[in-house]
This record gives sequence, structure tokens and C-alpha cells, in this order.
Amino acid sequence: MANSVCVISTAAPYQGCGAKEALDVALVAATYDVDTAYLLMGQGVLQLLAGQEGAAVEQKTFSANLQALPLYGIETLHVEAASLQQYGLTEADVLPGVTVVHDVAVFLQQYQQVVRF
Amino acid sequence: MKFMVVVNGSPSDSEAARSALRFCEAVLRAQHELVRLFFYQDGVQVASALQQPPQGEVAISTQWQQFISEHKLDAVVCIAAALRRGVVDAAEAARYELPAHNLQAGFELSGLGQYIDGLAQADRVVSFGGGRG
Repeated sequence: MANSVCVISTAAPYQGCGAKEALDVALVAATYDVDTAYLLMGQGVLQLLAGQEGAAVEQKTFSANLQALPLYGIETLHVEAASLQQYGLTEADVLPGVTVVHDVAVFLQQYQQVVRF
Repeated sequence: MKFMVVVNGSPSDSEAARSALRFCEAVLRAQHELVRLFFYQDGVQVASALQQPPQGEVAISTQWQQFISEHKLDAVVCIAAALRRGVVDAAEAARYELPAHNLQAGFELSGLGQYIDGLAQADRVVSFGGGRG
């Protein structure tokens, strides 16, 4: 197995299955004991918004999926600082326990493979 | 060098499948190895045998099927992504009592574990399509 992978998601939730399919890759990698990071960039930061109620659009609440990450051994949710700023968000607007990444290029150097959805 | 090539983009709404095929042809011409082809997200549509392009064009699924067959490649289509988009093989059609099956020859439905395995085996993973900026 690969030693490490960073899965980047740029998909907003409640826009089809793009966000879920990115998350699934991270979860499966973690299941195979690959050291896995899940990093949100671009519209992907919207996955982190607190107070989501999927029932309003007859869907499962997406943020509930993110709460499962620690069960798979992914302890940290990462989000790019510039993307948070782009969407006018601060750490107060998103789920607790998120780690903000300021230099993505440096962050990605830790990972053997990087995949982006 | 060992490559895994991933196709995430729709064959009708993106150039991903065509670009990926040209890239794969170049990989083999340059004497590198394709350890796996993986079709995910809208890219699973590449594996539908029911495409009927306009006269004078060859279906992208046929082009890939010929390439896969000629070079005996491992072409995996993510089963979860395929099922939700209506690309199914005979076994899945039977399991879910669907009225038809349409998986193109040469492609195999399997899980994301094959993708993760490809990440491990390949020196480089090159993905085409997907992402929303």
C-alpha cells in the first residue's frame, strides 16, 4: 500500500454526489491503513459549514459524514485558509476541530500521492 | 515508470476520456507501464456499451475497449459510482432486478480498494476530469 495520500475535495455538498465520492476515497484509503489526509479547497470548504440540515432538500445531512472520519483513523479535517477567506468564512462558521492550512504546497509535500476531486 | 490513469470526467460533457486515451497511448509508446485504468465519478459513463454517437464518429467506449483489449490492460470501473449512474453488469442487474445491463466488454466493476491499490503500485497517478475549481 502507498504510505500516504492527501485527498483534496473541491466539491460543494448538496450538489450531486461529488463531495461524497471524494470523501469515500479518503475513507477507503484509511481503511487500507494508508496515512490519509482530507483537505478542503475551493467550494469544498462549504462541506464544513456548521448547522447543515439536509432534510430541507430531502437529503442526508452531509456534515454528519465528516463526523465519521475519526472512526476511520482520520483525526483531522484540513481546510485551506485562502478558500475559507474566499467564501467569507472564519473558524467560527465551520465545524469545530478543523485545522487550517496556510501553505498548501508545503502541506502536500508530506504526502506520497495527492488526488483531487 | 508505472502509471495509474484515472478518468473522472463525463465522456459527453468533458474531454477527459479522450485526453486520457491519448495520454495512455503515449505512455505505452514511451515504453512505460499502465498498472491500472480506473473510471470514477462521471467517468464511469465511458464504460457504457449503449453509446450511439453520430455517423462518422466512433463511441468512446469502443475506442477504450479496443485499447484495453489490444494491450491487455486492467480497466476498473468503481461499482458504487457506476450503479448510481446506471452502468451495470449482468450480475448487478440480476442482484437489483434491473431491466438491463450495459457494461462494455473489457471493463470490470470493482471497489475503491482497486484505486487505493493503484496509488500504491504506481509511480505516478494521472487523473483526467472531475474537480469543480
